[in-house]
Amino acid sequence: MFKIENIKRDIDLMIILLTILLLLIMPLVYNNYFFLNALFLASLYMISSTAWNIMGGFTGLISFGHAAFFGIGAYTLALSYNNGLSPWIGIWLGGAIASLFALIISFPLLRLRGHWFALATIAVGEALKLFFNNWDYVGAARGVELARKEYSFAWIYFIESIYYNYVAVLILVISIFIMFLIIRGRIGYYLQSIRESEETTMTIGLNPFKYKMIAMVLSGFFTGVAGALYAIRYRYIDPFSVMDLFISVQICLIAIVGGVYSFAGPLLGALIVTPIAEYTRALIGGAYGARFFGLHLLIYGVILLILSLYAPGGLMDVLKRFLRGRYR
Amino acid sequence: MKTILKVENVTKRFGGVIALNNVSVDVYEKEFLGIIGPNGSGKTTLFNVITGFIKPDKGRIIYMDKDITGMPPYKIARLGVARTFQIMKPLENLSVYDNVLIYALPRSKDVDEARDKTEKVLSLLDLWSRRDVLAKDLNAVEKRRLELARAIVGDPKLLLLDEVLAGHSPAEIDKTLAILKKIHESGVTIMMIEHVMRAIMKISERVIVLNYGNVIAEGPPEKISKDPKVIEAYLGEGFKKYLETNKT
Amino acid sequence: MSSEIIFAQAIVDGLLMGSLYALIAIGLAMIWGIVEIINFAHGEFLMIASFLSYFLFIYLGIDPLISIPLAFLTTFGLGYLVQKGIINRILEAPFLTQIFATFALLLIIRNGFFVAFGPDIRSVTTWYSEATIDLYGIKMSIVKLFATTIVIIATILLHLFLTRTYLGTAMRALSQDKTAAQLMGIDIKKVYAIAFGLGAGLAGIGGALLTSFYYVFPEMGVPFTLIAFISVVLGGFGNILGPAIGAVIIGVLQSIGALIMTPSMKDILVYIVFLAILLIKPTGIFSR
Repeated sequence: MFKIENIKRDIDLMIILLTILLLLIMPLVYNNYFFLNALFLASLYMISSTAWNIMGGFTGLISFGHAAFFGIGAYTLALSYNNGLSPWIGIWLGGAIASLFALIISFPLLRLRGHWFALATIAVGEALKLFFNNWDYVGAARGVELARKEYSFAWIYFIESIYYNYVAVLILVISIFIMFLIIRGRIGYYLQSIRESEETTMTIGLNPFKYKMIAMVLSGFFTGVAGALYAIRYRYIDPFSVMDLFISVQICLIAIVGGVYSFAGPLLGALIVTPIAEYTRALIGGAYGARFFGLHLLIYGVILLILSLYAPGGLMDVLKRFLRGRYR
Repeated sequence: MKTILKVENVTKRFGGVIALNNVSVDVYEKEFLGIIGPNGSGKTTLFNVITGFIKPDKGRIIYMDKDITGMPPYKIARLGVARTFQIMKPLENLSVYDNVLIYALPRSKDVDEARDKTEKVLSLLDLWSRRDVLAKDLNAVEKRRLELARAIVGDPKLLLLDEVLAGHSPAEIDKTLAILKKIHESGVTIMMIEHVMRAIMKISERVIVLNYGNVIAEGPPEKISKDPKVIEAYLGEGFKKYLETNKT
Repeated sequence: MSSEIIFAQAIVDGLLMGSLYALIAIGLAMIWGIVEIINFAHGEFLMIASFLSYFLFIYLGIDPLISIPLAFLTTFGLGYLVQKGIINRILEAPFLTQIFATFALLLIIRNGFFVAFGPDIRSVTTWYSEATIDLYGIKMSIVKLFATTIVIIATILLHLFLTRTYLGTAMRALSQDKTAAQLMGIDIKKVYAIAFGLGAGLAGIGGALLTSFYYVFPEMGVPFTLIAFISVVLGGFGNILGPAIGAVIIGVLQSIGALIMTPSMKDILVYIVFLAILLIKPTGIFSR
């Protein structure tokens, strides 16, 4: 799979490698706090939107509740960090707890199909947010602040924000490659088969429920990892910053805009959408007051509408049409 | 001869309609069994009951001495029972290649082995040149071939074919029949529902006839084509009388 | 006040509010059942109508109740155009695409209003805003009584439309069997556009009614969309009565819930109930 001639023919792998290269080089080229922040968020969304895509794009399970996994990852890291656990373990623990939650909710939710599944995920996400907002152990509405440690790599605590970018890239590389290998292996094919037809999938001798559950657990895991990264970087979380419906929306929007039928679609989406969002939010919003807070969402809406009418496969679709002939 | 599949006294009702009425069928190992009958006679329901998509109200399905009645479809498929659908269900937004590959995977030790099997089957079914086309963009005959390719790539022991010849021209029928013959000769037991009488009479070793959910005749093709009950079922009472009056 | 009175008061309040929910839910159910599209932007049509009647009151002094027909026509027209210009073009697309089209619409309308009018919460005070009728100690707000009356009239008119007119019959046929309807010679896309228009228009009437006793702001549609979804899931979308009954039940439960629970507990409970209904009710589970 990783021979040079294969990579050249594989557009997904090309985009993955180029994206990683870009994330490694850009912070050195343009070391500006605001830009670094946008890149950091882009890395987060690359992980979580790729994870969303395992469910939404490959399996056909549309979720509007990924903020639940994101938030659980963030809270797990924050609480374990404050209790003295190394964040290098905490990040993956965040993923593990999120995937456990995914496993638990998969039993009732996977009985639902299509529209109903999507609606139920909204309810799960919002209910969990409100629950955390009232749960004293996790600080309720006050949220959790990460304890001060000495500035060090071991505690992922830095004065200069550029280091956070490289931590994010490291976690991104690990996460993306694990997900890539899974999606390109037999499980990835089975998930796509389920998306196209559960009935047909059963004739191969596969239990669709089992594989949908695997999709949810994987998706939950890496979304949780992304949430943990958020917590380690911003060092303060509350239910409305890590569990809001807006996070779910952002995660799936990026996947949709980038393209849900290809593995690298969400990477492309995050690379283009996050900076646009951050700049419109901070620059225009800052200059013209609170009402422009909605502007980036308005822009999302317009992009989304245009894409759903003309390129349902997202930017990857556009790119593939552009490169037709050179890639399979 | 050893039986591979026994359908024992199976009854299935849909509301007030009896789709299968106390049907018993024995299928022998490595035989080619044709199943014919007018529309609505219960042929596809029989396939659905055997493959687990429908639970019978009464009766049992014994496959290789094992009771598989009421087992979910995916478990039955794992035992080596493959089928095609009358209403085709390809994975529309995946390529022909991926469609077949997915079926090859569960019975391969890794993706590479599955790729080898896929390539062999695609060549056998004359679909190799169309491997990168999305399944939804195939024409009707190619879609039937794809169904067949997916059914055989998992090396089934028992293969249930539901109207794989629909939409074929006479020349294409001969081509597909030749492929089916090859598959059969490789040791696969085949049950085939078909409306193209010429084809089923040519390829089957034995034929059973269903009408209104009952097995009304059974035997070698040459006997079946002369059976008055069969002629009646297909052409109605009037035609039988016409035949009889003309005979005398 | 005795506890019986408080309880009775809660039920009356719930019934009045529930009837308003019913109107919105019927609109959602029409779009869901006939066009087979989940309209995430449903509450946004309500919000548009509410803004319209707010501005008509502020600048032209037109009473919100008078502006109801205009609110209906505006949202009907918008809904019609949305179906004609967007949804009709993606009827055959995967449901992911369809979901995202109405979701895009939500983002555009809600944030368009946000950008245009800001996050401010507006409200209208009319001579009848605070007026109540006292019935055996139970207070009934006049404006909510008005609203309920209008809801009942609108529902009856809709029922007559669906059962007595050719177009209405075509809609019902379409929701039952698309192929058969096509064979009957029904112009599907046009009927869809009118159905979406009507659904949006009903939300519009709801929005105009809300103006005189609720707050007007870009995100005001959110709770109403949620309640409409719950009502439709609860009552089904095969006819008018199902979602209406669902909505009234939700209205009463909400009102009683407010008596015995803290607001945050009440909000969590709404989602839990929603999930429970989704999981228990089989009609929701196997469609599509």
